[in-house]
Amino acid sequence: MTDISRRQFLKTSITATGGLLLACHLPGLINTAAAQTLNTTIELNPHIIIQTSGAITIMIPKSEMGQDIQTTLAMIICDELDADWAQVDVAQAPLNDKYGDQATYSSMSTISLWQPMRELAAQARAIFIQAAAAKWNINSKQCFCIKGYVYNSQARLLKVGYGELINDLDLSIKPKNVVLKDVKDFSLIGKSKPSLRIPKIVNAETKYGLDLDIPDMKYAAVARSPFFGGTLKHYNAEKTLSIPGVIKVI
Amino acid sequence: MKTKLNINNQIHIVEVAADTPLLWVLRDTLKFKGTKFGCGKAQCGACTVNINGQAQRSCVTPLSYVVGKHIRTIDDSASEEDILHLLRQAWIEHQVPQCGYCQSGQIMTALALLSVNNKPSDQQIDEAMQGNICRCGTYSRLRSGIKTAATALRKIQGVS
Repeated sequence: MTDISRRQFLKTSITATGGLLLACHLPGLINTAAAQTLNTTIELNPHIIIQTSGAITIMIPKSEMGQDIQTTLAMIICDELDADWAQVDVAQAPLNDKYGDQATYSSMSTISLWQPMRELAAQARAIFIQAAAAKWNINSKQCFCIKGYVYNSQARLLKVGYGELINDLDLSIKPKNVVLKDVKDFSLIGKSKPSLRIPKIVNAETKYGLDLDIPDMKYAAVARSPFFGGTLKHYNAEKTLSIPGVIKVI
Repeated sequence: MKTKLNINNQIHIVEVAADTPLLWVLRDTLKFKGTKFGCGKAQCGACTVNINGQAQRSCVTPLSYVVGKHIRTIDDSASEEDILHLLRQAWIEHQVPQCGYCQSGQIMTALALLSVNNKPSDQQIDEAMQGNICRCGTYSRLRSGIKTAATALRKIQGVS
């Protein structure tokens, strides 16, 4: 076996285990010099995570129940970000305040997130443009984006992938007054795209609520009144408790 | 009591009572969460697995019944010519699932059907699939998916 340096080992291990966790749990490290040499993944904002390969994971804050909010929000973000749809995947965001209101009800998810998600994606696009412009020493206005690349309008053959820029990004600046795309420029919104969830469903990779597994977790069953509006008068748990595996009746 | 099980061509030894439903063994003992719990009394089909190639409701199948038999679940891998793979591809092509909760059961029932019938009629599909309930109502796409998979299967078999 070849001798590898500690740094190389760290780099390889982080790539092998997926940088996603690093970015999720250590967001504070992103802007420190020490972490910059190791970034294979960064969290642009709570909803957009990108790897050096250009692969983008969209963290979906709302519950998925077949309405396919996962594909919907991914399309909205991908379009406004000018990312490559083939490199976009989704993941269910865990419960966390940074994702905002995660309650899912009344067909409100798209209505309520349409504007903020577009703004977040447009900001992220502006950050990529800023980094590329600095790299080429040109004005941001001289850059444009197509399918995950920033192009230099002064030298049409010059382009740089979003993933290649992740160690050059200045995430401390939140671009203000970002311009959202014009409706006529949408490439995904308004079109039909295959669900990002279905390949996972048919391969049994989708986690439903009942699939959650916590150590020492117990299952409970509810005995309902056989009559509408019926209330409990009394109960005798003796027979139930005699069944092997039953722990308690409450 | 120790029981030896053949699940997706892997041998698993479990130590649970012989009357334990296979579904509980799959999901709770072995942590194969792909097979779903729906009703617990063979009314919905969400828990369908293949036992020696037959579609069976694992929620009412006791462990003692499957000893020495070949159990196949949705978690199994499949080669490109495997009917399970053809079904998965057809399900993607027709965008069959909506919420997807019943679909592992739907696919395992369709797998048993295509294993014995490579050209099912609408009526044969409806008969084979009638025990698998889909609350999203994906029935017409399920039928299209099965037909596409059947066509792909016949192509592999070199028959029309």
